[in-house]
Amino acid sequence: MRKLLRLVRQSWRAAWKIYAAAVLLTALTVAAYLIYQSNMDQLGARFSQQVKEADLLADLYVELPLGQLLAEPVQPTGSWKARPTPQLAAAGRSLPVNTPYGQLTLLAIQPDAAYAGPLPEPGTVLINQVFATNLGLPSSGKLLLSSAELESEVTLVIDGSFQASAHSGHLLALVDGLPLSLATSAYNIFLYELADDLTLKAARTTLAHFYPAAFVFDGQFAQLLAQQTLEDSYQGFAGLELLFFTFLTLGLLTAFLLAFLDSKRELSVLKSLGLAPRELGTLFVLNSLVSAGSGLLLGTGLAFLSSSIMQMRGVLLSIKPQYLLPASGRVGLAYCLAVAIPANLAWRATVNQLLYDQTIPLISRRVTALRKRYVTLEDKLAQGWQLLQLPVIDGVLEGFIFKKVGDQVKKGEVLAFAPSWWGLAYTEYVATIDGEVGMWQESSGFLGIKPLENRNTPPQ
Amino acid sequence: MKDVIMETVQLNKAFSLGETIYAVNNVNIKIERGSMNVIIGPSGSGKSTLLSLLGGLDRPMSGDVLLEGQSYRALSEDQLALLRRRKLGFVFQFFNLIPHLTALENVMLPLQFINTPHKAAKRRGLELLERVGLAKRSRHLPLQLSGGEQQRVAIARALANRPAVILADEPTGNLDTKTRDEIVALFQELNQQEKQTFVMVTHDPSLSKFADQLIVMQDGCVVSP
Repeated sequence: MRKLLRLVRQSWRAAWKIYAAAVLLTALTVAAYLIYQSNMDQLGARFSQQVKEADLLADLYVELPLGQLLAEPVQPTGSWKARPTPQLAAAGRSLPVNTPYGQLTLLAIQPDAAYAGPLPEPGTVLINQVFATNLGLPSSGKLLLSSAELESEVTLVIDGSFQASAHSGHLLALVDGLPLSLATSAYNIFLYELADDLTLKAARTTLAHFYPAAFVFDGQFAQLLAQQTLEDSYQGFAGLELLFFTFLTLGLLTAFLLAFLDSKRELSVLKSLGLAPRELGTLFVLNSLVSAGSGLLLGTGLAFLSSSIMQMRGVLLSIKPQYLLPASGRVGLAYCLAVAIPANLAWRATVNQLLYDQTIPLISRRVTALRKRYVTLEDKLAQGWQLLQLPVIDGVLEGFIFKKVGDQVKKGEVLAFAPSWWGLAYTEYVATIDGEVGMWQESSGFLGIKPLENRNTPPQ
Repeated sequence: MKDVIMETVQLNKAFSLGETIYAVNNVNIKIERGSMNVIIGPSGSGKSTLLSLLGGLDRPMSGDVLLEGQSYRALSEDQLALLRRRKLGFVFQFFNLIPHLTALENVMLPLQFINTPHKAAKRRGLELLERVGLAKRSRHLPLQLSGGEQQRVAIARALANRPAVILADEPTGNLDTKTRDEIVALFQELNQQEKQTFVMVTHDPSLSKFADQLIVMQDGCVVSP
């Protein structure tokens, strides 16, 4: 092991720039992964909290189709603006109200005895200017309502402050504390806070009158929307994570291939001096371990350093150490994938292939028998012939044969070879018996070795 | 009875360069212990291929090589590497020293492979560098050495593990006349004084004249002896 560690040190001395690039790439990927994962974790926690808040705050959402949007932002009326958010200290119900627009169901609340807040006086109807315009109602003053009951208890329940959407210029009604992510999303959403004992159905009916083409959601929508947003973010991250580590794998593959190409002569020397293929494989593994370990350490350090810098600048981000293990696993996988090809090339290559830049096959195999049975060749097999089928396309051999009919063949001798996949794969056809070449058909690729004892017996 | 240290048995190696070329065709040679063997022949006659096969650097298509009775054919790649490590030394035309290692580290490299303790390896390395006249250049990198000096380091490296046979491929092919003579003298000295067995491929007649056995190759076949 000590000698291999010395060789690792020597390889790093030889190609330190390439290995440094691999370490840096690993470190950056690890740091990005840790920062992003920790940030998403925090975002998720915040979102969950916001979902709960949104669930409490908002009972209704109205999403307007584009055609229903107001051309310009609407300013709230003075009395509306000044009025604070009603607390849940009022009983409420839905009421049918006759207006010039037809009969509308309005939402009503009735302050209970204990309530001391600044709700409008009984009989007052607060109405948004938009509603008033839409309904043809006056925006101030008393509204004539058909029901005498309303004279003592009715308030139109619509709450919130209005502002224009930064995205579309469309009107948005926001409840204080609404998650910013929802409020600034591309959705054109109105939120209304209702007294908790008002029926949702009544609210829907009312709002449907105000905004005929609006789609009204109940409070669960906030949760769904938040969850969806969260899931989308995480799904996006899964893709991003895959991208990170694919990029790392490709980068490492390039680095290790470069290191391999750069050290071909050196590897040939080491092989000629007696470095065994197994030791060469171990050398690659050790090199990868050193590189991956350094990258992980550096990347973790970078992530914590970035987090500290961000915190100094007011961005709350704490790196979660529990992501170190998955990061190590992913880095390990990337290294395994990246190092496999150059290690395989180094392992397979002969000294001459390394020394004289000859093609090194990635895959090689030895073929010693037919893959399928052929009825016409059964008699030869019965006589102890060795039969092989070489690859032939349109009657032309896709490879090279070293023997011709009548040549002597020894057991273990390579009779032919066929490169494929642009030289990356290599098939050797090997004799398993002593004999002579008794058959060679270029049109079909059949090669037959007649055993020595049958040399004088012609095939039947 | 002569002590045969290495022999080939009907050794074959073919390449396909559009047509089948037998670089080594049914070669049977015997190398005696302590002898100087020189393989000569025109370019493309298969000299270097034969040397590669003798060194186990390449596998033959058929036939076998025996080193001190050990058949290469029976060995796995790992076992063949161990055999190279313990019994063979190589000297190449272009020296093939590892550029980022000093002369001493290059010589110590084969000793590391057989787990020689560092101090002993260093002692042996320095001793060998002194033997080839480069004791004062032990800390120099190959690029800081002349061609002849680099080849001397390569020879010292080849000697490090006290190999049974040193295989040299055109060892003087990349050297000027004066340096070539020095290297030839060194080979002779090692052969005669230390009974080191050499198998050398060369075009250089100055090496041929010291050969105990001259192996002449043509078209992959041994035509003499």
